[in-house]
Amino acid sequence: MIRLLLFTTSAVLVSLAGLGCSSSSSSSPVLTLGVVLPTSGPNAAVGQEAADAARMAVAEWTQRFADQGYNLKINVQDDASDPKQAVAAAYAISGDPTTFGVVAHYNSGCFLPASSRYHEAGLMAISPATTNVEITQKGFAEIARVTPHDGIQGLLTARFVRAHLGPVRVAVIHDRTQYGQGLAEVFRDQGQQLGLKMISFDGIQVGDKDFKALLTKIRSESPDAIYFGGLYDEAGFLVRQMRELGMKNSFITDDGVFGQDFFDVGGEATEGAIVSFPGTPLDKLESAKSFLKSFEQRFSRPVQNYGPYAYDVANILIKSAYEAIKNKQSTDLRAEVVRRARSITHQGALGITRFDSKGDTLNARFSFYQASQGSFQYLQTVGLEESPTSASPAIGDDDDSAATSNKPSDSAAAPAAGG
Amino acid sequence: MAQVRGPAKLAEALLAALLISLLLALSGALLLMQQQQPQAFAQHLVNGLTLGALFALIALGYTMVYGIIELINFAHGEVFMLGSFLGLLALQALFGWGITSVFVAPVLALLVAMCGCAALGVALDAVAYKPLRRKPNWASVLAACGAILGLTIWLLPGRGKLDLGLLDGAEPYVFATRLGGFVILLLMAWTAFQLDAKNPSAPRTTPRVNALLSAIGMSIFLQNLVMLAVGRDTQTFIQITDFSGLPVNPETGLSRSSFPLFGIEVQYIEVVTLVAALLLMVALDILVSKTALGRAMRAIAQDPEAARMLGIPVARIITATFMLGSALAAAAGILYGLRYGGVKFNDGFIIGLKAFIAAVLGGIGNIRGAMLGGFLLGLSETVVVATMEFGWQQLGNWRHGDKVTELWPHAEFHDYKDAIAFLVLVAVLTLRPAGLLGAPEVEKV
Repeated sequence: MIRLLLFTTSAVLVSLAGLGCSSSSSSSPVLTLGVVLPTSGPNAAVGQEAADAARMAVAEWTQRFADQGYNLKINVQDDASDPKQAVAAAYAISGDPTTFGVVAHYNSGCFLPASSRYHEAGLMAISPATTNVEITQKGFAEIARVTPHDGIQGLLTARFVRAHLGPVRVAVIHDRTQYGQGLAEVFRDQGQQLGLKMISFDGIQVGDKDFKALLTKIRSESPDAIYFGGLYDEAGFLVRQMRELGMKNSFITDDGVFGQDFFDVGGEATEGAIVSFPGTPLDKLESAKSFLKSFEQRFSRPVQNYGPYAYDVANILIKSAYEAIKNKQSTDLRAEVVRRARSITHQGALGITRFDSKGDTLNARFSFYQASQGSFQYLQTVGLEESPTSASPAIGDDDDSAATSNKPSDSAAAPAAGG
Repeated sequence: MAQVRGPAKLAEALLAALLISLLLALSGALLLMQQQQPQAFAQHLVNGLTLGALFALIALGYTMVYGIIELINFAHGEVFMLGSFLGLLALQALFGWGITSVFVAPVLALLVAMCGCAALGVALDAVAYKPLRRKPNWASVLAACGAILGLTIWLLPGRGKLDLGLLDGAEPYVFATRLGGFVILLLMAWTAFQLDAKNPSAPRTTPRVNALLSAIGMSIFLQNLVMLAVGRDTQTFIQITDFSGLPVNPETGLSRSSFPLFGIEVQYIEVVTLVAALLLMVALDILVSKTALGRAMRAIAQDPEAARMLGIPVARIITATFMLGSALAAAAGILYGLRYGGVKFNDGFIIGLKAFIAAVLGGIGNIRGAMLGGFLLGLSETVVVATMEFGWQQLGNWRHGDKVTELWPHAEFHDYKDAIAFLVLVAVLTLRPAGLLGAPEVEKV
């Protein structure tokens, strides 16, 4: 029934588009890049930046599409980080027959349910940010992402902790979300195999501010480090209350904490916290320089976090569509975009992006940063194939930036570290 | 009948036995924990009492309003959240003028927040509840809407990040807008009150569920108002170490926010929270039991019709109740902000819900019950949960010789701290349906 409805709707839309064509000869067929990101809700800031990066990519391609006789448009839908709204937005986006691909979702909890819809519609959906392992396990050709998944983040963080802190006792806390808990579980399991001693595994409630009871209990077990899987608000309150209780352990957490908000909430207590973030720092990648500069020029604000990811995703999708229409190979543009995007080798802001057979990026690296006086200082980048050096974290020797010095000023790498 | 009563009695007895054995096990674990981990135990106690003080302050507002007009004011949690925001705005202005003394600034901010929230309480009643109790007096409703508009103006300059600079609040434009908003809020609330008190409209009865829905509506409205006016991010509160007059740590040269006591670090704000909450509660208790206003409140709670006939200005007393409850919530709000260091538009929801549960636990309508319920809930979330986990672990460690075998895996009780707190509620209400100090419901004929 829904399919039928959709079919009729699209038929009407197509005929409307046709009418538009005949009435004004100047307008050419429209191709739309779909964007579904949280432009409102708790992650609005991240969503807005990613949507703006996608807008920038579209603006850069518009002329080339016009030369081919197409009008490239962008359709930004808000999922508000809410799974229900995400599915509704996925229907809205895929129901538009001119959509050829989607920059899809910031939250794993949104992309998971929505991905079935993209699969049904045969619409290529690439996420700039989701990291839950499950997303690419369904075997949908239409689903991919440019961020390495939590399994890799958890694994690399466990390796990093083992290399720098030794076989320490770790208390693991998570925020019971698909993201936070999934990450914490991988960290716990991988860490155990590497010889870390996991002394506890506790969940907290998102939105709660009082973690003192939990931390008091953890303190009595005297861990060497605390790992937290979750987002910045809870991380900020956790680390602040840890320090208030006089706990001096290392605090290690994830990319959901990476941003200025962590410092706003945690204040002085954030000092020394270690945060992982996907990819190589952008200022160490020649390819990202022009993006960062033009983004700041265009929107007169610096890139904070997921902008480059959304920019690459948009470019992969647009490039695939562009080559498809240029070669006029197929009438089914969506299928053609899926085929081309999955086999693409894209040289973008993140470096060279390629997808494996599941749709996960082969460019799987995580960088580690340490909070220091209100900004994240770059420590080291770890890839899947390499193991972290056990040298002092201050002397990172990642292969990507071997030539770059590690002066503190250099580490403004942390895009979020604007004071 | 007898057939039904038999098993019911049996079930009651079983339940009581179960609860008593649970309590015994709990106190055993409590004693053991006190011995084995005295520091952790003391810390849990401090955590629980501070949290409980906040719950108790908010619970008072629920219980007072319920006691007098049998309304569950679900917007009360939002009044608490707004109190926190107003306190933060006031602190920013004070810091802007260089008033940073730890003895002056928080007290002044507390007064501003309490006044603002008292006015908000009046406006809430006039807009959302009074028109359901009496024929609506439109002039009064309009004035109350104006008061809420004043509140919005007060919040507006904080759009985005409130903490862009501490001096923000003292900048002439920002300050003028905020002062204007504050004055509009107070004046309009006062007008709404006066308009209504001068010529009270005729009472009317509406289904009680209407008032409840109205309250939920106001709760959602206020939450969204703050979200749109201020933004969705957590707003950083002024840190306790930003105040001058705090003792300085000789090692670092920075001011300290805590002091050592029996081997644990106690935050100054925890002591302040506890002391301020207790002072306010004692003041309220005296007000209710000793003054004419308190007497009138108690009279209306017993029988509003009889009170009216005896010449008690019922409308005014109800308004005063809203003012008192909201002012206490504002105090809780500012203590909360200083305690946790941040406040967000939806912070009032869960805390408000828990405070409501504290009020029910103590016996809704009973003021001392709300205080007791607040502390009880705070302690169940911390001490009880920790004790249960500790006891579970100790019980599971089977010691034989030098070896310790884990009979069962350690469970993470802290994951379920809310569930356990609510379990306490269920247990208490099963044995005492009217709450701990509540009078049993008398069927009115």
